[in-house]
Amino acid sequence: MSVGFPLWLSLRVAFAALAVIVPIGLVLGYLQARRDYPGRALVDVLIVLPIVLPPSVTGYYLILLLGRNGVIGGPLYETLGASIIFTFWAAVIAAVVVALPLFIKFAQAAFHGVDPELEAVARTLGAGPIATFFRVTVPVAWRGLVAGAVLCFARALGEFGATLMFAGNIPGKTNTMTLEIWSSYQAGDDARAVMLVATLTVVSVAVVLAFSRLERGRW
Amino acid sequence: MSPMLHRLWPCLFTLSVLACGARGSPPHRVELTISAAASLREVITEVSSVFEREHLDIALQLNFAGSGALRQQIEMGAPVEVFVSAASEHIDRLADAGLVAEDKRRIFARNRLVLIGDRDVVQSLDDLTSKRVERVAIGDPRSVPAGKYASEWLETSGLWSEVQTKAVLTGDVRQVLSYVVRGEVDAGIVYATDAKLLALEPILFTASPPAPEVVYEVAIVNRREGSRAQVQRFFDFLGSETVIRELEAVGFSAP
Repeated sequence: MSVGFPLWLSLRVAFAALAVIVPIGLVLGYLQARRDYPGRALVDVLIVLPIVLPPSVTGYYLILLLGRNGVIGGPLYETLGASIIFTFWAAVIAAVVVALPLFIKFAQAAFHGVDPELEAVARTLGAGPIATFFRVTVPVAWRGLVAGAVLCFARALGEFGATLMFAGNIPGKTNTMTLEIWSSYQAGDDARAVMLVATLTVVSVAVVLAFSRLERGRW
Repeated sequence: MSPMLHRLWPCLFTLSVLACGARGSPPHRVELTISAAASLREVITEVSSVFEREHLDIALQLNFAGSGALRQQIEMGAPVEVFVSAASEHIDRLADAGLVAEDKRRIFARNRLVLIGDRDVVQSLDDLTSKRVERVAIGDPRSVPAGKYASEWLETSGLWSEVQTKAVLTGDVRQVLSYVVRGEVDAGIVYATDAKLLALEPILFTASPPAPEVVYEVAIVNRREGSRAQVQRFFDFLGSETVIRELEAVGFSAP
């Protein structure tokens, strides 16, 4: 099998994960940076949890929750006949869960650095809260947000443990780059493993370079 | 330093020497590492403890995984003395690399494949191609012997190309078992001994259609100098009546 499919799959998973992460991350990052509400400390702990937990633990939780007999996955399978485990979306969910905390943490720090006076001024000049957020807060926090997005894209691209457990290793469906590297290595197919590793390295470097140029506003 | 502490030093020294001595007993215990296929976990653990009781000078470290992964570890230089593989090909590759001598390998046991899963959905091997079967778990044929045998079984039955698209590939055969037991897949192919372990009634035995023969091989990995006599003793023990009886008790056939 060529390197093409796993690479294309990994990129699709990482972009899909990013598309889910950014909106959630912006909201949660802003809430955690600016608002005080009951249970805020607990949310903070929950956010950090996937960073400190081993991916195998995260993967196990995902199976318990969303597996065919899971707390949510069970009723879903019985009523709709659809299961998430061992599908493309399982790989996306695994990537979201492990990468989201990174983006939230970066967004939180970035929003923390935005002077509340700027937002207050925008509001007195007649901008609504949403307009203020997108036209003042986000542009000022831009660099931190982009840095967070780069890191979480890279993390999603490199996700292995939780994906292996929750999305399985189905050739032509869920065999992402990292899973292919693992199974090629186990099979002793070093030529293929080296090719996959080199490809993933080049892609990762290219992504980081592209984003860093974007961040400095050269494009 | 206070005079009190001065007087304490000799005592501390004596204590630490005693502690070291205690940890090292019994003296000259040779440690051997045994790598064995995942499907042998229970039986090898059992016979190893029998062996250790009979040979107090030998301690066994057991290492279980898919045979392909174990072979890879040995090729990369893992300090392993004895390797029990679920397929001859992994020992062949070590022999080609000069890591196993031809006269230091022999057949350890035989096993057979079974189809397990949800009886409401699967009654025969042919049913694996039906639409109602969404996921089938097998070991990764490239590194897991049970998976390789399974793919050969499906291939000779003319089903492989269709089943392949819904096959969840695992790193060892026991993972197939856990996916089936948890109901995450509709069916899986494992060894008869794995199914027996969980008192799972197999849907189908390999008898029909015929499947490739499952042969386990054991070999001495020639890497480390010394402790040769102890390694040979364990190798010989694995072919003894005691071990054969234990193998047959859990569903393997004798070599």
